[in-house]
Amino acid sequence: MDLNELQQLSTWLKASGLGCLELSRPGKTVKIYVSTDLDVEVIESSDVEVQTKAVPTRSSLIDVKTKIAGIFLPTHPMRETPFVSVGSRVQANSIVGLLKIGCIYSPVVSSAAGIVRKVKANSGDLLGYGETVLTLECECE
Amino acid sequence: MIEILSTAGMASVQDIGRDNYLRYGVGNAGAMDRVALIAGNILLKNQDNAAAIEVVIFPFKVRFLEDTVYALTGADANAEMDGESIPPYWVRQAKRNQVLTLSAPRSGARVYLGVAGGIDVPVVLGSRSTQLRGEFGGHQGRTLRQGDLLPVGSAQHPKSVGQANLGPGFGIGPPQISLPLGDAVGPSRTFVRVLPAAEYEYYEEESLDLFWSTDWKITSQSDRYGYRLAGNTLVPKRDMELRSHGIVPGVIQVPHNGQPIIQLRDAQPSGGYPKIGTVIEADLWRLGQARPGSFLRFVETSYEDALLASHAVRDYLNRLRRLTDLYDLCGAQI
Repeated sequence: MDLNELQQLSTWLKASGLGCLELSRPGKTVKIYVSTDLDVEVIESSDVEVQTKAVPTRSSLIDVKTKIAGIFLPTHPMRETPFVSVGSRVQANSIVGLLKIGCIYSPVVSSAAGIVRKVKANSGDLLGYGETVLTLECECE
Repeated sequence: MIEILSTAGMASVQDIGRDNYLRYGVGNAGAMDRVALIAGNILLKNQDNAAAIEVVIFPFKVRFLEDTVYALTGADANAEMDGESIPPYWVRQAKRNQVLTLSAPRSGARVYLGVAGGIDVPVVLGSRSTQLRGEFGGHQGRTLRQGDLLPVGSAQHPKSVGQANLGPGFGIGPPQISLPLGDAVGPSRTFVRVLPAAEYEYYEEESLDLFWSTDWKITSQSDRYGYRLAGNTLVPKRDMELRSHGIVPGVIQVPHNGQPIIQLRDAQPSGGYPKIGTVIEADLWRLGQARPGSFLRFVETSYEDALLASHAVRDYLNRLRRLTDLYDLCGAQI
């Protein structure tokens, strides 16, 4: 596996909203992590040197995606106001909604700091893996 | 260790309570909302009866003196940690020296702050709960004060040590949502199921009708010992004089003024007033979340239905247990 392929994989990972990929073959393991808050990819391999590649950041629109499947709840059932609405300013890693899986409430977490421009998912929607919940205008430089 | 930073009183260390000592005249004590206490312990991977802090007066502030996995259950206290809002029925991790602030809930009365490993105060008569009347158990047998340091037991939780990145935590469906009861008329009225008790038949027919069909206001003279209610006067067919006898949390007594009292977790274990009914065990947690000034409605039930209600609570907690274990397997970051 060469560097281009690794980069292609990491691009796909980011595009799908997945956080980690592990590929194993006898004697070889490749793990790719996508760091959600720093916008940095870390590629680790047992036979390739660890390398870090910083992607230049810019003010842009970012989709916040699901990392697990579930029923979308914009508001906690014990509360009246939603976690965020259009125009809300959110911090990186803050909770923007919930995915209900049986009696579990899994948080949907903002991948960057920014302002909510569009909430795409509706209350009660059954969302799959990697689906867009909302769009943020990123406040990165 | 946890340091209590707030001056607001009445918070106490509570576990499930000491149910086996009533016969010796020792009251139950224990969490007023037992379902919330156990749900918190499930989130924390504690034993069901691990002790937590029961908070009733807000704002309430604590500082975690070491990295701690904690859970918030019971009423929604709009909790905040370093500017981040923490939802109710939620488990999270705090870093050393982080401060958690609980604010007055919009509805509900009691918040449980549990920690992985439990609040590790000494066990007295089989329980860590605070016996306020007897001044033993809990933290020095009293409610918590500013500056109190509470020890945390050794945690079974796998995420409790040395995790570099703090996740957002996760939550569970609250019993208020999963175990609804009565009309959805808002938080100002709580429905509880009641079994007729020994002296039920000695009340006038009209009083019994009013007992089931009208609102009972929880007066300000209501606390962990019991709730004094205000409403229509309940009139017995004839005056009753009873000898003192054993009573349990949930018993609804009627003193001479005809205004009922519900005995609760810190009630003394005996009393002599006539008993018109008993709030079923499965609904005592609802009373724990009903606040003074709000209203109660009594719903007549049968022994069989009371047992079914207990099973429903047990099934709810088992569901939580099963799904939190599964969710952890999925690599939940807390």
